[in-house]
Formats: sequence, structure tokens, C-alpha cells
Amino acid sequence: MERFLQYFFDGLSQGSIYALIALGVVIIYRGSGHLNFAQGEMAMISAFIAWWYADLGLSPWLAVGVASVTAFVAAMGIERFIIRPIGHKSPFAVVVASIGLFLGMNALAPFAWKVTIPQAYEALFPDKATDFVRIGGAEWREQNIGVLLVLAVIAGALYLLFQRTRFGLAMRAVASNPESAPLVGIRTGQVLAVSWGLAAAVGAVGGAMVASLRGNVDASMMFTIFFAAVAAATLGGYDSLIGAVFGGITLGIFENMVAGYQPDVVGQELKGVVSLVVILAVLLVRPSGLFGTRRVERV
Amino acid sequence: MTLLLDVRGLRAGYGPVEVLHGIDLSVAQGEVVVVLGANGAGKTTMMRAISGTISRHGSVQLSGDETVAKSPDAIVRAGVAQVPQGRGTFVDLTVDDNLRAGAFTRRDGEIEADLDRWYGVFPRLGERKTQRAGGLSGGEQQMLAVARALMSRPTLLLCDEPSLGLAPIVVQELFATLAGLNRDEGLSVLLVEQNANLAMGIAQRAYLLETGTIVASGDVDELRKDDAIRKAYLGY
Amino acid sequence: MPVYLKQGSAPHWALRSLGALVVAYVALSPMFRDLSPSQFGELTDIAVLALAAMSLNLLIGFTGQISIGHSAFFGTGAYTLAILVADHGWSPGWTYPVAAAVCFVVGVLVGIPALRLAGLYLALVTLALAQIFPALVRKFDDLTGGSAGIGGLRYEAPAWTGLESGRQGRAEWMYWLALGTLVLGYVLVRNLVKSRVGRSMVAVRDNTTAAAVMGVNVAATKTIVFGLSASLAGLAGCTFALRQTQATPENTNFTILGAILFLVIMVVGGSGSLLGPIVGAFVYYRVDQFTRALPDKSWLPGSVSDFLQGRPNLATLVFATMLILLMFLAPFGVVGLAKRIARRILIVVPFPPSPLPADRHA
Repeated sequence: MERFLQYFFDGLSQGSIYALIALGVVIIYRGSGHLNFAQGEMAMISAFIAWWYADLGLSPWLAVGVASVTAFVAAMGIERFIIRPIGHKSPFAVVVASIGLFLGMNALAPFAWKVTIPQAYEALFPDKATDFVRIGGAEWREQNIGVLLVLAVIAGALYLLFQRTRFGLAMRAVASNPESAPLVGIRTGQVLAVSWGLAAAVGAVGGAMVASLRGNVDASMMFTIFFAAVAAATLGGYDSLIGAVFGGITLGIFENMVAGYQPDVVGQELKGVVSLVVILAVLLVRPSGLFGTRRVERV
Repeated sequence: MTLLLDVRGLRAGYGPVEVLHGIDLSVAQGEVVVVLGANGAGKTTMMRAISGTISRHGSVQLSGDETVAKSPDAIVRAGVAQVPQGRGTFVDLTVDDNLRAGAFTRRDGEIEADLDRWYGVFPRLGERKTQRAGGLSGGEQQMLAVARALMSRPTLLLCDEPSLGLAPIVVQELFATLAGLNRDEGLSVLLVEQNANLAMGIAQRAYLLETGTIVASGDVDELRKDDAIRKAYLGY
Repeated sequence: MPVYLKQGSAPHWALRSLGALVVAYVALSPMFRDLSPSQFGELTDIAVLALAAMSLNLLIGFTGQISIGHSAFFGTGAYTLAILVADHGWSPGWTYPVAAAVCFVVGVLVGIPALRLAGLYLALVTLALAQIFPALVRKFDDLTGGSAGIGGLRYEAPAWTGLESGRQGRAEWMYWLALGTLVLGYVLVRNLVKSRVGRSMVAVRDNTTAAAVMGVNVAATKTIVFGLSASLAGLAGCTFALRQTQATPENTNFTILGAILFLVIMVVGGSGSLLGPIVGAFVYYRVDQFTRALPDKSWLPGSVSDFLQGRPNLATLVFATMLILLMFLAPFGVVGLAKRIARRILIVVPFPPSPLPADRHA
């Protein structure tokens, strides 16, 4: 039982991170219908920015906040000046551009900060070996509780934004019917830009969480996480925010359980296989995911 | 008296294909004007050109203000609301959210009052307030689209083929509502319809659009008397 | 202004023969010139990348779907060669067909579920593949040598080629291998595209429903194409392993970055064109060399070169920027752009279909 709980708690924390990145993926997909391949790398660069701000003297949490704002603004610019104009040409071009962003951002971090090895990142939560809560014999580390709380806060804030604000209504309207949105006076361009900004800001927090848990920032730290986040979004349904959270948490726990109980078959390196299997299973059985809207394809 | 809508030399199209070849039409305050035409004549293109959702050239004046260069949201704010062909409902949103979306450009405090009002005019919408709009019947969605447009308190309502795909009795109800709004509140309507008979029943003037140009216009009664038009468009 | 040539007419044939001669001269000229081993090596590397990009081009041309996972097939080919040569003493030449076969099978296996996925999802699954490949290699270390990899892969030029043994001969021989597989790939892709099946696939790739209704066996064709695409990538991987003399999971070409690289080359050269991948590989290689040498160039202003010192990834940043700019300016790559410009000078008019019996009386 203790082992199960341990895997559960660890998986919960990993799953929270998947959920944060998956939320970003889903926000952009809902808003513009594009999958942002660069989501993970944007989170990574934001973590680097937070690291840099902390280096410049900001307290760790303030650095994360300012980095989120920076990410928000930068992503709005990317949407407005790169994605949108290319999107008018062809969807293929947008996918390629998105991959280009992935490549570019991955290369940019070491280039901009002249770093080739991981850089120490100050933990955002108490992370000494003794900082845990004991439940049923298992240790629930305080930093893992912290990440889960951050997810809860962000998910809650997003819920309020989407369901209770005028702009949230606009975002949902654009997601539902982008052709009708201008008819009621919604500026679709604005909504798209803000979608990207929001996704980047949420991703920035995710990246900071990753860095905090790892203790360092490294250019390749988000590869597997991005992929797992995509699996989570697939599981939850690409146009569902609830799905992103649910999918992320479920995937994190499931993955950890499999790795924990079958270390020989799966183990740490092959956790990616779990994600792959999940994606394939979902796409073959129920492509719209658990919470996504089923779309009937009309020929 | 300035016309509510004064369109001159309107050209519009899709990419290299020009669909409207310079049309002139007008709607006066308090009028219902119908534009008739066969499929492919350019009626929907015309509506989109007026509401600003596609690029256009020429002159589109709303109460004397030139709007041909304005963005769609500015035109909504100027008092034009479009009920698009095929309803254009926000299918994933609730009925209530659809109506609130219609009021998006408004910042005044009377939105709740308007919601109550339109629920009164369209009671079936009131019954389905919290339901997902995609689950409504065709007729209900059409009413929803009209109510959504009305939520922005427009002075000019653009209706694009509202009868499409609806049962006759529903269509009659809908047209009666539109006629009532025109009569009681002075709502001006520009109506595009293939169901010429019904449309001309509530309109004062009509235009005939054929492959991108206006070929005839005038008072509804006069047009009814014209044999050629009667045979071509009214079927008798 | 444009000159019109009828397809199949004498002037058209003359032009094509001339073009073929030029290409042959360029490709075969290393035989006549004395190139150093490193120069041969450069050409080999370019040919390897071109073949990898070509394998992607085949896939996109036929299925309209993007794969960001061909690094896995590339790596599979490389490791097949490595294992057979190092552990079983095979001569590298014979491993090529085996690697092609292995990759074909793997490609078909991936292709079968892939058929059910729309473009985006396929991209994701291939992403997964690329992600997992190095991990799988590390995991099955008995077979693959794990993180250390398999080394000592050399291919001495066989006696019948008349090439000397040692570094010079090996370098030249590997160039021929690379060129040979590249030509094989080109011929394969070209014939597929121009075949009846190929033309119908290309015509309906955007609408699989129409294709199915028309009687094209979409599923089988797509799966086979996936397998062939994987084979070509695998062949490229074989030569790559020989060039590197080793196969290790650390190599970027076996990771997702490699898969993206192949995509970049294909896009830069021009997707949808047969020569695109070759042009793209050339451009990539030259730009890569240029940007790597850039910080040390004397003509660079001091402030710029100071800025660049010690900063990694300049080449990658340049490519990422190029990729994005290309999407703005030339979504069809260099070759596409060249074709558009060429059309202002010369247009080849397709040979009209034979007239129907009724027309003859018109």
C-alpha cells in the first residue's frame, strides 16, 4: 500500500506538470486549431528567463511571475507576426513554421545565455529531504504538493476566465465558430493572440515547476514532457481544458505506476513508450478523447 | 433624410474571382428590403461585404458614415447585425451564452433586461436557456441566430436566407416576428431570400440580383405586377 | 516572353539530354578529379542527407503527411549495419539490402496504424517514434552496445573497384555507395510518382474518400509507401554509420533533432519536387559550414565576432529562421521558387492525349 501511495504521489506531481503544458496546448488548439509544436520549448525558454531574472536579483516567485508576463507578450507577437500570416498561406506551412519555432527556441537558449551545461535553479518549494508529509507510510514531498497546488490555482483561474468573463466568452465563441465570431463584433485576431499569450504564460509556470523540481534549467529538459503533455491532451480531448488537466494527472500517475511496478519492462527511459501507447490507444478507440467534442466528419 | 444603408458600386469577391460587379442598393429607416436571386447570384457575398467580413471596394454608408474600410466589429458597433446563412450558431455554447455573445459589443447595463425580453419574444429559447445550442432544432437555432443579432441592439438587421431548411410553419412564425419588429420598433431589415413570396409579403421594396449585378428594383407591388419577374421568381 | 516547348518534341528531348549530361558530369566528376578523403567525405555526407530528405519527400508526396520520426528509421538502418558488421562479421555491402528490408518491415508496421490517423496525429506518433528510438537503443544494450554504441565500422573498397585500400580508397568507395543509394532512391521515387498508381495517389491524396471511391487501394498503397520511405531512410543511415565508423545513441541524427533536420532539408529544397531534397542537402551543408566558420572570419566586425564567441547553436538558429522565413516567402522551397522563375522563361506543354475517334472528323 505504501508503495502504491508513493507512486501515486510522485505521479501526481509529474502529472501536474503534464497538465500545465497540456493546458497550453489545448488553449491554442481551441483558439486557432493549430497544434503548437513549440509549446514545450517555449516553456523551457520561459524557465531560462525566470532563471535569468532570479540571477538579476528578483525573488524566485517574482521571477516566475515576470517570466510569465514576458512569455505572454512574446507569444502574442509570435502569433501575430509569424503564425497568423503563415496560416493564411496553408496549414502545412503553419506546421512547418511551428516545427521551426521548436528548433529555433531549442537552439536559442544555449545561444542567448552562452550555456552548454544545466544551470542551477533555485527551488520554489521547500525541497530538503525532510520536507514531506507522511501519509499511509508514503512520503508526499512538499514540493510535489506545491506543484499540485499551483496547477489547482491556475486551472481555477482559467476556469473563471473562460466561464465568467466577457473575454472568456469571446474565446469560447471563437473556438466554437470562428466564422461567426466577427459577426457579433468579436475581434478574432485579438482572441488568437491572447490565446497564444495565455498558453505561453501557463507554459512558463510549467517550465518553472520543472526547473524547480530538477534543480536546474537545461535546454533539453522539456522534450519528453512536451510529448507526454501531448499524450495527455489527446487522452483528455484536444479541445477540452478539463480534459487536459484530467489527462495530465491520469497519465502522470499511470506512467509512474507502470514504471514503478515494472521497472524491467519500462523503467525510467522508456516512460515515453507509455505515452505513445496511450496516444495510439486513444486515437484508435475514441479519437475525440475523454472530454473532447465528437465531430462528425461530413464528406 | 439620410438613408440608413446606402450602397454604391460595391465590388467584392473571393481571391481572384469577383462576385459582385458594382451594385447599388439602399435601405431607408424603418424599411424592410428584400434581395431576391437564384443560387450563385452573389447574395451571401453581398451580405458579407456589407457586414465587413470579406474585403470589398466601393461605398457602403451607414447613416452617412462611410464603413467600407471598417472592420467587422466596428460595423457591429455602428448598428448592423447579421444573421448568417446557415445560422452560424456557436454550437458548443449554451443558448444563454450565444445571446450574451450577441451583446459582446455592448457595455451598458441593460443586457440582462434585453435577455429577458427576447426570451419573452422567443419562449422556446427561454425553455432551453442552459442547453447546448448545437442540440436545438433548425427552427430554434434560426430564432437563436436572430435573437443573438438583436442582442446588439442593431438599427439594421441583415438576414441571409432565414427560411433555408425550415418547416413552413416555423418560417411563417419567423417572418411574422420580423414583420412585427419592423412595425412596432422600426427595425430596418435587409433580407436575402429565395422564398420570394414570403419575403415580399413583409417587405416594402425589393431588388433582383443576378450574377453579381442588380437587374431590377422597385416597390414590391410594382415588381409583382411585372410578368417576367413574376414568372421567373414567383413561379406564377 | 516564355518559350513554349511541346513535351516529347525534339527540342524538349535535346534539352533533357543536355540536362542529364550536366548532372552526370557533376556527379561523376570526382572520379576524374583527385579529391581528398575529406572532400569525398563532404559529398558523402551531403548525399546521405539528401537521401534521408528524399525518403520524407516520398512520404509527403504520396500521403500528404508529415513524419518527424524518420530519424528512427535512419537509426535502424545504421544499427542493422553496425550489428551485422561488428557482431557477425558481415561485409558492409551486404548489410544494405538487409537494412532496407528491416526498415521496410518496421515502416509497414508503423504505417498500418498510421493510416487511421489524420495528418496531425501521424506527426505526433512519428514524434513519439523519434523520441523513443534512442531510449530503445540504450535499453537493449546487449544487442546495440547501449550508450557506448558499436564502433569500428570500416568498409575497405573491394578489389573489383580498383580503388586503393586505406583512407583514400575508403572515402571514395563510400561516396560511390552514397551516390548509388541516392540514385536508387531518386529512380524509385520518380517511377513511383509517374506511375499510374502514383499519379492517382498524388491527385487524390488530399481527399482519401474520393480515392477510395475511385477504387484506388488507398490503405495498401499508403502502407507500402511508408515502408519504402523507411527503407530509403535506412539506407541513408547505413552509409552514415560507415562515415561515422560507429553507431551510438548520442548522435543527433538518431534523435528527434535529426528527424527535424531531414524535414528542414526537404522543405528548404522544396517538397513536392524530385530534386528538392538534393538541392536542400547542398544548401544545408554549405550554410552549416558557413555559420560554423563565421565567428572566426576576419571580415566580421569585432563586436559581432566577440558576441558570437563561445555561443553554440548558431547554425541551428540560422536554419530555424530560414525555415520560418521560407514559409513566408517560398513555401515550396528553393526548387519551387526556381521553377516559378523558370516558368517565365520556358514552359513545357504537356503532350495532348490522343484524339477520340469523333474528334478526327472535327
